[in-house]
Amino acid sequence: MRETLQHIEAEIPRLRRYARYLRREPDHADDLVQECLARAIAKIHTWQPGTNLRAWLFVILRNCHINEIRREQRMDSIDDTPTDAPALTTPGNQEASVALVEVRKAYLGLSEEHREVLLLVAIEGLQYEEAASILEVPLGTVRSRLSRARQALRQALKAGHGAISDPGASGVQGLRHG
Amino acid sequence: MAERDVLAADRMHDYIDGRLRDRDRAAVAAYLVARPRAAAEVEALRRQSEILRGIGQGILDEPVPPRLRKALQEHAPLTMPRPPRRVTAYLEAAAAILLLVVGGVLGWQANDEIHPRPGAADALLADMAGAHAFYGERGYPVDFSPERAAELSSWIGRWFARDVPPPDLRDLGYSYRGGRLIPAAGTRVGLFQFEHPEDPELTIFFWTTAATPQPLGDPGPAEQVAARFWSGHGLNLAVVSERTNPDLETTADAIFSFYERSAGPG
Repeated sequence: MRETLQHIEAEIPRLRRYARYLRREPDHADDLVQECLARAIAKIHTWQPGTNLRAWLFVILRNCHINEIRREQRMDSIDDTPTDAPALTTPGNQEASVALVEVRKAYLGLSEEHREVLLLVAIEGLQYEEAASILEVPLGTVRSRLSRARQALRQALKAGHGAISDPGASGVQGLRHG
Repeated sequence: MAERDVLAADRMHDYIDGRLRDRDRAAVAAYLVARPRAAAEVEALRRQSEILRGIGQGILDEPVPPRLRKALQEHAPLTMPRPPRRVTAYLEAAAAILLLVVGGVLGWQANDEIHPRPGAADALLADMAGAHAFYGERGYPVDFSPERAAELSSWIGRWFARDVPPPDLRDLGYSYRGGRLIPAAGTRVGLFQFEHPEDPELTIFFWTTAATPQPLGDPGPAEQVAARFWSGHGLNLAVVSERTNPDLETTADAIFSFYERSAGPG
């Protein structure tokens, strides 16, 4: 148990990052993480050792978020819920590389479902199957979403003449979806 | 891998994400060697993914707020896994008490009127359901609010000859409203009342007199109240809330773990 708790504690920064995606305001995001931790400990017996603890925690975090949104909707006070880009920013311009700034800008311009699948797979490094479980969608949907998200990001970077070089006109079209 | 599959976009993403088997990865790599423009595109996507991983890095580098570490530490003792002996005791108690309430559900009608079932044990449970509805009504003043905890503790001590403290469920979203003792089906039962901003009210009942198990008939379709039971260290507990409460199981587990620790020897 102690070891599991240590592993959970080690995941707090990543929970905070995902929460910051789900809830723009940092304090709200940390409230969400706090609720997630409470629920995770309360149902720790349901976690299967050997499976990805991060993915398991992300499922709980996302469910907490969904519950919170439902409560807010019931209370007709959804003004503070994020409706557009997530706040994956930090004070002090800690993400200063030109390429990262450009990618981040393009990323924030994507649709919500594209941002989220990229966050889970490309940023957090989860397996497609784990992302499917978190998002509660079929594996094929994760695949297609991921493919479209990457291409959308690629196109956005091209449109912005980003730091990632354009390999040529035929590249993107050369990748068939299937 | 067939030639026609090599270019498929999902294969490319599998390749970028390192999901391909060695043989398939080699096939894609060989394909790309022969097609520089496609290789450049894949490299751009790979590079894009690499840079993406830096998004939110600043959040990862931030110190973890103390309240989050504290939340983890505070919850941990409440929900430490029960040792095997405890599980056995719980199951035995549950099996015995579940005889009282088929399905673990108490009788309840939509008009909030309690309909006790025959039998002393049934009456105990019906009284608890009634007390949950009556005393647990939101906004209804309780006899012993949290500010009068010492008086309630003294009262509990006189009746039960032991200390039975209310658990702290704030991290599960429940606020402690207070408690009292009630007469129920010829015995004495203590209760602690909790409220949640959204979820239904929750009442913990505790008693020390063993109830006589007695089977009930089919509880019928109209029940709206659910209960979870625990017995150990000479203490019996029932956690009662509306059936719609999605967290009843989780909350009851936390409560039972609390009493497993606090009511046990030492």
